[in-house]
Amino acid sequence: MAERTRLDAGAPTRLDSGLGPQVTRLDSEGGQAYSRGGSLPTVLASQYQILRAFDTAGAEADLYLAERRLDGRHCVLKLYRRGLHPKVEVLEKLRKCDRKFVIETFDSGESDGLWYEVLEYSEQGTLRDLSDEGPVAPNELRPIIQRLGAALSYIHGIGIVHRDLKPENVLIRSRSPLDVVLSDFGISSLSEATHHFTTRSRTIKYGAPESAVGAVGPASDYWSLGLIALECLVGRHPFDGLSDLSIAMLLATGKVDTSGVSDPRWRLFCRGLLARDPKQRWGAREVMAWLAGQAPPVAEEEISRPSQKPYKFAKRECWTTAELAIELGRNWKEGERHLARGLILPWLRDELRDQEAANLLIDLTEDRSLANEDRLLRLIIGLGRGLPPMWRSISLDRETLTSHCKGASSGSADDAEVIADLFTHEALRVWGDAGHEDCAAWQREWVMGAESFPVLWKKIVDNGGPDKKMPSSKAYLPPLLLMTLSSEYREVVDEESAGHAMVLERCYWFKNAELDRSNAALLVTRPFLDSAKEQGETEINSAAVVGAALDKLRTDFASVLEGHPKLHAELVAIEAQIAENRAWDAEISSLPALRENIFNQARNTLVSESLAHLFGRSWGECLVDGVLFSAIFVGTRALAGYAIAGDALGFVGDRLDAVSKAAEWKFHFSLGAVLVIAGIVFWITGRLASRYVSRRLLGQKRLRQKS
Amino acid sequence: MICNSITHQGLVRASNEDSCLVDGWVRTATMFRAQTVEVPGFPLVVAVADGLGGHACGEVASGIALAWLATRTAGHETLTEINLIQILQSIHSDLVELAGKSSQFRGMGTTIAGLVLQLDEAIAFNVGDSRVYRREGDFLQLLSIDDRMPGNLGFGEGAEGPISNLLLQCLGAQRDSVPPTPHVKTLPLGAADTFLLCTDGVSDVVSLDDMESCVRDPAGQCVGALVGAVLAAGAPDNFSIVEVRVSGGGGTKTLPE
Repeated sequence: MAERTRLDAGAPTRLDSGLGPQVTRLDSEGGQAYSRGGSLPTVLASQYQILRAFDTAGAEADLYLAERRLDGRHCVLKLYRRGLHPKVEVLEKLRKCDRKFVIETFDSGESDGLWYEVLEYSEQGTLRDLSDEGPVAPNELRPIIQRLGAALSYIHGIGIVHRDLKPENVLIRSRSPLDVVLSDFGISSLSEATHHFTTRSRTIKYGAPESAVGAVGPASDYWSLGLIALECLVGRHPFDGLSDLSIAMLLATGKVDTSGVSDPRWRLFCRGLLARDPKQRWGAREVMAWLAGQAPPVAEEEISRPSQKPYKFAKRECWTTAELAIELGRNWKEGERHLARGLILPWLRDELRDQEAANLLIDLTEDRSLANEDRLLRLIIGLGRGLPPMWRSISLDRETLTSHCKGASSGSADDAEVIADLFTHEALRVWGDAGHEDCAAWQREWVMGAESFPVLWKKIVDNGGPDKKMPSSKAYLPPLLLMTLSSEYREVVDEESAGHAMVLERCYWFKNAELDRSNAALLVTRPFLDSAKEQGETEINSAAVVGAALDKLRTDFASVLEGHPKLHAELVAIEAQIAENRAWDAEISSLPALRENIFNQARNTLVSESLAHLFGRSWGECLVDGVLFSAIFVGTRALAGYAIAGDALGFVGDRLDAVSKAAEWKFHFSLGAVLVIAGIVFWITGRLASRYVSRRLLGQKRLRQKS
Repeated sequence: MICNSITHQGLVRASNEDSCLVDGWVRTATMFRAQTVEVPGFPLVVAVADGLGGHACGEVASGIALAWLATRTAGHETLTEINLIQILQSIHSDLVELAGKSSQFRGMGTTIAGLVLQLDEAIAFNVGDSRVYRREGDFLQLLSIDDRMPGNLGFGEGAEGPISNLLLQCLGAQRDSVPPTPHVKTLPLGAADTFLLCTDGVSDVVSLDDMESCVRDPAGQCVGALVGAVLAAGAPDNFSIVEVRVSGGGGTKTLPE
């Protein structure tokens, strides 16, 4: 966030850099500034002539001094950056406000996609200009306070909390008679709930202690009023020169020192408004009573010095453990020295006699696994309850951590050191243990990521990814924390790989590593992304080549099949067989069916084989047999004539006779009968054949003999 | 455990009235180099003593007190605070008795500051203004309590050391019969703890800040650096230093690979 920007002297409104809840950011880069010298939105261009621009770098809106064409009146044009718009209901309420208390809004609305407000302009500047001139005299301040008190009770009455009251936002209409009004409700909101919870957007120097935890109510505006009064009276702000972290720590535990106000009644006024407890802080009633000359009670005592001796630390004197905690936090290195040398214990034990604190310190010293800085952190937490999380000199809030992470990621060695140190000493976990849920959650996610990062890296390499050298933890810890802190950053990293999911899916070593979408996984993916994409694309390409070749084969095969119907039929049969086998697979699940099936199959095979054996002989085989038989008969006839053949048949007849007497005579008889018939047939055939053969051969012989 | 020790007469005094004790060995004569001894096991008793009474007396007192301490602690397997107090008081009464025997030894006394390292604890003890420190990172924590008239009664910055050097009690040297009250403190013993014992010849001459920068000596030569600092400051008094390093390893947290 840019620094608060002061406008030119005489500017009516000053903008705070904080992005308020009233403004909704649509794009992360912030709205595009209205180009100076360019054309105004149409609605405004017709009515106003821009005189000059106020310097508002980094703010949510651009401000211009403009002249109304209608009557030549000077006014301020507030043009919200593109993509930003105010809460309409707040604008409406403010427009209807009494101009006695609140800056006048002439017009507001939207034109050409830009939101604008037209505000009143005063040449007198703001209370800041007045207070810069030196301490404000009490009699001069009184009417201002009177008017501001009335203005606050008026805006609270209509449900608006200013939330960012500071001298810059008090517009002076005229100095004599004095007329001041509230301006710049840039971060106001409707106070429908008793307390409105928000994150930042207030000027921390004027913010009430409760706004550190986001609980802002009407009482917060009265705290700011108290600080304005104190600053005007003393001539300088009590927090001048302190960092935001120091201020936050002071607000959390300490009291604002009002001893610089010499007038006791004004000191009472400041103390009443600067009560840390919003319930006990003065409100409208007490301010009225004080203005009327009464002295309403003040809840908190003036800072009193106890009778004990103070602890001297970093050129300051600490009287309470809470004060010491703040100082230790502000001077971390010095605090380490005091703690390590054992200087603090005697004070806690012997002077304050704070047994609890002393025991804490003794326990910390006796824990030999802790380093000095670990002990100091725990001591600060233990002594100063309610302090905002910090480590060394940095505040452990989202913004600060994010900026360190970003610094480390973009190469700053110092930031990398800060983050590595934070990780080593587990400061976030310690604050988490002390009740800061944010810190605990960040630490958990961070540690989880840090533990899985090397594992996932190894997984990729083991699965065949390029053997890159793993970055050191100093390099991967900051982006891991950044992903934890900023969902936007996480999305950026996520999108890097999500955009190439299809390609990455084809990279075998990336796919096999089975990365999830955890922070560590996304971060590990990053350095491998290019080679994974390359690999994936190669595989996609080779898959395309193989697919094309397969397609060609398929068409070739189909054309071959067309020319060979038989092959085609066999192919169909094979396919049927495959289908059957598949059916089989289904049947395997039930065992009885399987057994049945096997039995049937076996029986069928047996039968079909027997039948094939019986009937399956081809004509060729029969022909060979016939020839063989013929040859035997011819041979027999040729060798021994009919007698031998007759004897042979006679022998068979004898055998038949004998066999027919056996137990299975029926079978053998029928076999014998068949053989007899066959014998007769063969005998006749033999005779016919032999006669034929002898007639042909002998006849020819005779013919030859005759010739 | 590694012990580095030295006792030295300094650059001004004619003799060395300091003594140091490391694991049963008492050194009383000036050593021109620190001696490094590796002690394998517990218990270990180390101490420094600064003799009082001038000339021969002081030398005898510091040496004999440490020798008695060595022999009287040797009989114990583990020592308790009570044992130590009794031993220190017996040394005191024996010194008083010895001083009474010879006019040569009259007024003989010694400070003592020591450390007993046992299995998981350390007992620091002292009588007088010799000191026992424990190293805490880059800094030194004073474990002993100086028996000196307190100077600054405040707390925090500037309350680090008493200004006066008037000794309130020591072993021996007291005419009255009231025995001194030894300061004894039991501490848990860390695996990487380092202790530093020294006599006022070091702590009065070298500021705590400078001592700490010697402890941070990049070469790890803490005793050498301290001797250099004392000599550079003129070494107006005898001085003795004993450094004990418990080298169990570990201790410091590191980043993952």
